Amino acid sequence: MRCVNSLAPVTRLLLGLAMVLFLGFQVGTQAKGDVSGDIVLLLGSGHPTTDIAAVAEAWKRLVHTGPDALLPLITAARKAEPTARNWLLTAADQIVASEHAAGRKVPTDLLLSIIKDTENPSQGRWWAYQWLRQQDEAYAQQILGQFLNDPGAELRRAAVAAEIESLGDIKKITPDDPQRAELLKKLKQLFDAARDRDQVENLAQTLRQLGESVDLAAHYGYVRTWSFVGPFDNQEDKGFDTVYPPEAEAARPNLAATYQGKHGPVTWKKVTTPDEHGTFDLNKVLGEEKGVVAYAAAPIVSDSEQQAEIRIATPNSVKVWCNGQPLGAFHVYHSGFEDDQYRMPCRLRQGVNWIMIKICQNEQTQDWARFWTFRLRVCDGLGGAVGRQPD
Amino acid sequence: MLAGRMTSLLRYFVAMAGCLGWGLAGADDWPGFRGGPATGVLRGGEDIPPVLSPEKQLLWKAQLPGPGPSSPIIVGNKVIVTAAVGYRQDELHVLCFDSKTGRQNWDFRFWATGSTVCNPFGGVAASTPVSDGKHIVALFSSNDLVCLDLDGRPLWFRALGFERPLLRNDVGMASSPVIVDGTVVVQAESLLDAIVCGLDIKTGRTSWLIERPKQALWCTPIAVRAGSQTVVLLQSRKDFQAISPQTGQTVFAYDHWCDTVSSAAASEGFVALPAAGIHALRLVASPAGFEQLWISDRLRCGNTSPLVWKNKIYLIKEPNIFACADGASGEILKQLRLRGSFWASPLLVGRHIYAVNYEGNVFVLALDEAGLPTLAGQWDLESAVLASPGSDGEQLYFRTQRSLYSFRLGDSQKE
Repeated sequence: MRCVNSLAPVTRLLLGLAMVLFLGFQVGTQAKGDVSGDIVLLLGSGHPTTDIAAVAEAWKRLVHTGPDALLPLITAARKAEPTARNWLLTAADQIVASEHAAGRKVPTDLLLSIIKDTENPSQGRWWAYQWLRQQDEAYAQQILGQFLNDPGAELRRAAVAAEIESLGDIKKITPDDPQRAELLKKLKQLFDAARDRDQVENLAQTLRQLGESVDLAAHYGYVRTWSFVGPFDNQEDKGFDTVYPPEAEAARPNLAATYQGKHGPVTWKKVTTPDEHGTFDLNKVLGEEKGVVAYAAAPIVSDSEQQAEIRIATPNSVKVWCNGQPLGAFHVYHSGFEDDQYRMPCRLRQGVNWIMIKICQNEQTQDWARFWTFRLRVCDGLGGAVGRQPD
Repeated sequence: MLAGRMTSLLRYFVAMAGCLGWGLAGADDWPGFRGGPATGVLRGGEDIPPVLSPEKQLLWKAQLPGPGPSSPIIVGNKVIVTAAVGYRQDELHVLCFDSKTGRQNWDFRFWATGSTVCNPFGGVAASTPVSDGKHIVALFSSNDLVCLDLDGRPLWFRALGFERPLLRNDVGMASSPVIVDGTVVVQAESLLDAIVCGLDIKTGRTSWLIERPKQALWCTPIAVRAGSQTVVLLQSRKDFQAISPQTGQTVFAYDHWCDTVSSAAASEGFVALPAAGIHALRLVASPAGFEQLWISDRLRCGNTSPLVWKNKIYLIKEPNIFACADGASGEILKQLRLRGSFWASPLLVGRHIYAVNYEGNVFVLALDEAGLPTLAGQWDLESAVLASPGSDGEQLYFRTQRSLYSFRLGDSQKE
């Protein structure tokens, strides 16, 4: 335990015990004895009292250890906090780079064991796949198909891309293609697997060309039906922090209620958007106005209690609740409107879950500041739809 | 009379002290955004020949693994550049190439921990890395920082975007870090959260942190000598502050809002501050710190940063007017219409200025004895150029979204 020698014995003991206990990493059983102390140091890199120079030295020793340290490093990264995960994964990456630079291959079985164990962090599995591809491209290509439904975004994306490529130019596939049925089956399989927008839209377009109907909103998990109420006052941007009555009902909105709005009584109204990415233009729903607040509420049915993400894109200031629990507050106007702009983890309960958002429009007068809009989806960590809206 | 002479001497002393060394970085290094003293000017002789025959002077071209508006830096014989890879641009790379051969020495990659949402036009690898000749510090739009040694081995990571999840800009963040006397100064300002912090170059730990007004800003701080001390100049929508790199405390300030994209340039105690035009300031040894010389609203920089050299200011007015102004008065001495749209800041090497537009057209402007520019040549790179070029006095380096180019200055014969 070369690295740990530089620490006081008590500190060493406490650090080691803390890491083993709190990070759930069974040092003795998962690492060769010589690397476990160094891995513990990397795992503790984020602690304010850690000697970061000792961590950097431990990183070098681990790299010097070679492929024997690969599996312990990747395994340790499973529950590491993000900075420690970077220390661990970059050491693994450097080990393989050194092996390849020396003209040596890392045992394929070792790489496969890393790739196939979905408990390993997806970034580490993806790099392991790249390492395999660097030393045996044909074999790496051959096994890619089995990752079509992988829980890792990068491996899944690569698998979908490879399968699309194997079909040739899918935009040239016509409805009278003699292999249409087989192609359709394959395309639907790929569409179901795809999570990234470029791949999803590409496949959707081809399926439609072949006469198939595609529900993009359902695929992404975009919520297309909401109940809206407003406008409430947001002059001088005071509305963002003003708790209007609907907020008090975020856990279970009373959609029959009437509230005092900016210009008089307001009531909820249910609207379904035809946009297949679930985009709502509140200027059309509630009337174009500056200095206003609107609330939107929607039920999502989950068949089981499960972890999910709520992802919203909007150029307006927004607050988000799930079953009354505040998930996020983003007080920004007209900065960006990218897909999945704000990602918020949430726990869905079995049955009906209520999502409420508060979406604020400010009083900027520029033409590009007229947007009062959003799109929101409920999905898993990869972007696959979770839950459904009740009929 | 004596007091006046003393004041003049003091001003002269302050002015002479205005050129700041950059730690251990070599004299011919290009260690950060727009080089060392952040003027976009390569120190050295004025007899450096230009690149006018790119096909003959191209030394090498290297493919990059991903896009990024960040500029290359040069440390000794190493050219360092960053890139972001993947559909989400969350695999962050710091790459090192041999300056003479273009051979890749190393590629250090790690994973973003903060938000990588950004305008697709820019990218996550937007900030230019910085070096003190011993360390390389790279910052990304996700507010992830890594410090490497010159062999590409990590010395520390900081996950500022993970530590402060609201420290994000959905357009992307682009301010580049600077290193001053062992402190890495990071200006990370967005509408949701905004800080300036000083990190210990040896450990990455926070030496000081100042909460800033929540406003979006993409400018890079610059370090200058002000009397006996080094200060870091920070732009904001409120004012132009000089802070201590040791404490982050404000030493003095200029009470005027600043541009939030175009960064100030300084040379020999003279500062050109972009603020819907140029505010020309002189660093003075008084509590005020700045003396305002003149203001010109005709010198609007757009998205690029100005050059300051030998009492002249050179800049690209939107959309593509190259202007030369008198540093003493702000009078525009000459203007040239180029073409296209400019995101990369111009670079002065020897007596030639290189201005490259987004479309990849490189305009070479020769300066005459009076410092006035004329178009000496024009040639083409590939398109999509956002990064400002760099130079070590022997070669020019251009970074496009996909490639890194090196051209030999002068000798048109390939080695």
